[in-house]
Amino acid sequence: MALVPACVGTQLKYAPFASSVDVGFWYTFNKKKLEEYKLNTDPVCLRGGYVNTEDQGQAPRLSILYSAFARPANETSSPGMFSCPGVLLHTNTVEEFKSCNRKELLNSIADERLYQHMLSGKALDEPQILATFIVHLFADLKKYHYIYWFAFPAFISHKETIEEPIKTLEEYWTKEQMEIFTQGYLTIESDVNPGFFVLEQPSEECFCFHPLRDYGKLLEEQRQVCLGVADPSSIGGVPGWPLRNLLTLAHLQWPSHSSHKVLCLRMSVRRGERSVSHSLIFRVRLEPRENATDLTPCVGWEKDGAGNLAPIKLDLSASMDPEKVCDSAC
Amino acid sequence: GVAEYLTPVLTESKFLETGVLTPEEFVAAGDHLTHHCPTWQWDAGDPAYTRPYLPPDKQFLVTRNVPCYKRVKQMEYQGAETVLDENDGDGGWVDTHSSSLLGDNGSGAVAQQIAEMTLDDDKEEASRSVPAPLLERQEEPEDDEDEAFDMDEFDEMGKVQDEDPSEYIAPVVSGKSGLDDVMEGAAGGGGEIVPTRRYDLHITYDKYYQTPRLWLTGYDENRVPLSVEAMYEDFSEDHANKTITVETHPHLSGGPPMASVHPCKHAETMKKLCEIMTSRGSRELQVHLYLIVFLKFMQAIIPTLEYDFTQNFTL
Repeated sequence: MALVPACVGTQLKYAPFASSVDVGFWYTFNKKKLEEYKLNTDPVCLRGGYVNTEDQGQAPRLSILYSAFARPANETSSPGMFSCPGVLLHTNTVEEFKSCNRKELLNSIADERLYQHMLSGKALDEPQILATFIVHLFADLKKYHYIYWFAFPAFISHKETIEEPIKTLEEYWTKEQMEIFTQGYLTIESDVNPGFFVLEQPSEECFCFHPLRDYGKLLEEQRQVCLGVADPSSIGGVPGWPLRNLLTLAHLQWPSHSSHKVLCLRMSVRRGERSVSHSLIFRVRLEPRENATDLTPCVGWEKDGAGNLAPIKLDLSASMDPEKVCDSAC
Repeated sequence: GVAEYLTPVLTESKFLETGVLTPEEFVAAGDHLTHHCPTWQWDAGDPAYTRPYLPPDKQFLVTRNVPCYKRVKQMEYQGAETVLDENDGDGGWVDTHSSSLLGDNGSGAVAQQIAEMTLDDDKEEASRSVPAPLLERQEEPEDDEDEAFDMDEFDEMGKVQDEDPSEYIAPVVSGKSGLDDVMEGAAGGGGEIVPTRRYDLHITYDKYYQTPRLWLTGYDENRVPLSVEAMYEDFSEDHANKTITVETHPHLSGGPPMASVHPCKHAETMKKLCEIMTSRGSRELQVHLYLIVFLKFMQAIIPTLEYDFTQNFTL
C-alpha cells in the first residue's frame, strides 16, 4: 500500500473525524427536548463510537446513534466498535447558536472534560475519554430543521515529529507475527481497553497487552513497549484523531519520555478473514510548539464537505413532518 | 401489527422444508454472522420494543456506514445480463449480476428463484403492509431553510478557532475517475477521501413471515439522510417497485419509516436456495449459514452495496 510521503523529521499530521448522525438520533432528541429538557439547556451526556475497519478512501468517522442518550458513556469498548463520551449542548434559539463564542466554548469543555482528566490520570483508567466529542445543536422542532456542529477537541501546544519512518505492519512483521498478534488482540483481557492499550513484544513471536496505566512503569523497566491505538483512519501514513490525544496524555503523564513508539491498529474484515497488515507502526518525538504556554487553546471544530469551518444544516421535514409524510404516502 | 401479535412464535425447526426460521435459529445464524463478519453486530433496540422471543441484547443485527460508490445505473453489466421469465406480466426480470451471486457455475435456476421473488399484488394487499410510494418523484421541497439559518458569518475561520498545523487535509476525489479508482482499489493510497453514499443495514426477525427482514437507511455524500426516492437509485430497478416497502422499524421507537425488502417471498426463495445448495453440495445446509445465504440473495436487490457477508463459502 502506498503511503502519503511522511519523512523522518517532518511533523506528524492527523486525519480528523467526520461526524455521522443516525436519523434515529434526531427522533430521540425531539422527544427528549419536548418531554424532558423543555427550556432547560444543561449539557447532556452522549455516547458515540468509531470503528477501525473503514475502507480505504473513506474519512474516519465518529457516529452517534438513536441510542446515544441511553447508554452510559463509559461502557467498555469491544474490538470492532470503540465507544467514547460526548456532550450535547443545545440552545433554545438560533441566535444563541449563532452568537456563541466557539473558541471559548471549545476551550472550556476540552479543559473540563478532557484536559483535567488527562492531568488527574482518570484518562489512564478510562482512555475512551481521549476521544471525547462535543455536539452543539439548535433544533427547530416545528419545522424539523436542525443545525449542528461537532467538535473533536485536541491541543496545539505541542507537535509530534516523525522519528522513525512510518511503516505498515506488513512491512514490519511477518505474516506469522501478525497472526499471533491478531489472535492475542481478539482475546484481550477485560482490564485492557482495546481502543487504547500498551503492546509489549518480549520476543519475536510473543505479544503481551497491558492497560495504558502501566506504560510508564514498563518504560522504566526498559521493556520493549509501544502505545497501541485503534485507528479510525484508513489513509496511508496518516493516523486518526485518537492518537493525538493519547500522545498529549503521554506527554502530561510521563514528561521525562519524549520519544514514543506507536501502533495505529487498523483492521479489515473481508470474507470472514481479519487482516491488520495495513496498520501503521512508527516512532514519534513530542516537542513543545514555539511560544506555547499551556495546553489550551484547542482545536477540533469539524469542517464541512468543502473544507470550511461551518455547521451542518439538516432539513428532515420530508421524513419527520407528519403532514408531509402523509402527503407522500397518498 | 395485529397479524404479528396473533401469529404464534415458531418453535419447531422447519427451515429445510419451508425456508422459515425459529427465533432461536435466527439468533444462532446471527451469532455465526457476527462472529465471521464482525462488521455486523447485535443491537438491543429501544427497550420499549423488545420482543420477548428474542434475547434482550440480540433483537436485531446491524452494520453501519456501508459505502455505496455507484448507483445501480452506473454499474457495469459485464455481459451477464439476462432477461428472465419474459412472460411475466410485469415485463420480465433482469438479472444483471447472476455471476456474482452464483459463483462460477451459476445455473439459471437460482437466479430464476430470486427473480420470481416479486410481490404478488393481491397477496400483498391482503397482508399487513402498505406498499411504498412507487418511484414517483416528489416535488422538490420548498427551500426555506436558508431563511431559517443564515450562516454567512461562519465563513470567518479565525473567529471559530486557530489554525491547526497538525490537521491532515485530505484531497477530495470525486467524479468518474475517483470512482474508478475506488473500484480498482487504488483510491486512498494517495491519501484521498472519496465522498460516497452510505447505508446502515438492519436485519430483524419478522415474526409474521418467520424470516429475516432487511431494512435500509441511506445517507448522501454530505451525510444527509436520503429520501426514499433517492434510495431507489441503489435498488435493482426491477425490485425497487416490487419488493421494497417503507414501514416502521419494529425495534426503534418513533423512528422514521425505513425502506425494507418485503419478506413475503423470503421463505420460498430461501427454501429453493437451500435445495439447490443441498443438491450441489456434499451435505445439508446448516441453519447457522442461513443469514449468509440470505445476504447473498439480498445482493440481487442492492447490488452496489458492499456489505460483508462472505466467508470461504460459495453457493
